[in-house]
Amino acid sequence: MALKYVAEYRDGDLAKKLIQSIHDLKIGKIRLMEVCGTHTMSIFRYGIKGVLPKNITLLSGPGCPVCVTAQKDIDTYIEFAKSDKFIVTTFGDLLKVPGSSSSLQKEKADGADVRIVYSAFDALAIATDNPEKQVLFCAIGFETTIPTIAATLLVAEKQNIPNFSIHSSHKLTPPALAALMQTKGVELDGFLLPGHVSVITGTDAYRSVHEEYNIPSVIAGFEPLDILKGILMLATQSKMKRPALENAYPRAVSDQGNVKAKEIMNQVFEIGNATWRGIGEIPDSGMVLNKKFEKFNACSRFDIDIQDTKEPKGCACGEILMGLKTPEDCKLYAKACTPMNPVGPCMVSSEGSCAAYYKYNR
Amino acid sequence: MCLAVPSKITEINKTTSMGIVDVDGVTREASLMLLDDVKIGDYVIVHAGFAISKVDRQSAEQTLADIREMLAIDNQIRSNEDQSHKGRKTESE
Ligand code: SF4
Repeated sequence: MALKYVAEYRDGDLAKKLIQSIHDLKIGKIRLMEVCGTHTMSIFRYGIKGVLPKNITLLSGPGCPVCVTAQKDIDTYIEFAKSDKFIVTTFGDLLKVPGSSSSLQKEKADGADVRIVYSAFDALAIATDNPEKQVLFCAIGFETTIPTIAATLLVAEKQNIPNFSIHSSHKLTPPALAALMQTKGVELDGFLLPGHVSVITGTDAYRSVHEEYNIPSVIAGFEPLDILKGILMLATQSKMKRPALENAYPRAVSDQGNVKAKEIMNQVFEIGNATWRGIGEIPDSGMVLNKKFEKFNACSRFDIDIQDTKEPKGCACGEILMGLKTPEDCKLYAKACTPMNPVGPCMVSSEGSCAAYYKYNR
Repeated sequence: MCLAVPSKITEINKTTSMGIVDVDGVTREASLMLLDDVKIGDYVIVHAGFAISKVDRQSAEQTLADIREMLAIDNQIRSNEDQSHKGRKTESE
């Protein structure tokens, strides 16, 4: 493979040696959480669970953006799609997520103008091209995505585009980790921290959570060697009883993170509370539009009324996101709930734990 | 949503802050608004249409060197343990 910075990190010989070293630790039972959905995908794609010692359990965390989006936010997006004044623009993963009574996909099939975009910029371009319509962008995502949406709004502001707005369901990672650690029943011995969230936040962002809970924490990239190295570092910390905050992905992540991206993000958004599926409201775990950019807030600009939000019955997504259950603990898994016919978001998103189990683990 | 594979910058439009990036022959547009001082030939991580980080060549190589070193030390410990194990065994025999 000619890909730079990739082939070397898929080196089979080195991987085998890393796996051997993990086994040689002869570690007692530990539970590690891979916080990020992209890690979940890589772990399944490369069959990493299968090569680890039985004593190491890997659990998926609250790092799949679609999965953690609260039902009320999903309903809000769907409600906008029902209005023929609107073009609703969204990342593809959100399309099939079932709301209380519909989904964006259903609305689209019924004639609503719902368009998949690859970036927030594309959504803005749709607004420019359709001045007679209002364009809503479904703003979901973590620290990795928030600056891209902020940058788009800076451009929208500069170009004075009147028919573009967002509904923000943004989430911040460190407060969620702290909330997890405070949740009864959650037992974790280490965090495999997200690579690309950390590109923006930097290593320093996790310091307070790490110190408060004294939990092994390692930032890792997404190639097999990155993940194996991260797991080896976590297991070693655990074995030595020396919890540390370490960065195993220094080729992309620095201590301070992407300062420019953070500045852009803070020009447009400010910290606010956010509601997470399954976890509930976590103080200071979201990013909402600040006063200057409030005019881009779809819900304050347009009257939209969401009542009677209903979670999908029997879906254990919330508990899965907290590491309390695995997809196989859900009675609907692979029966009533499949990727073709998903009941909950964890089966919809390609980064969702249920979807990954379904694809690779059956 | 996250493209984990680094892309190479092949073109930069300074006025629009847009660039063309290439992953193994597949090219697409990406905004460079979130990065300072990028130049053609740099490898970047692209997320949702934006380059969010440069990939640092030196630390890419360093990480691999670290892994090799870590494994070498591990092997060293293991072979030492084997040695001492054997040693003890002989003693008790
Ligand atoms: S299998 Fe389906 S219903 Fe069960 S937790 Fe996963 S998404 Fe929810």
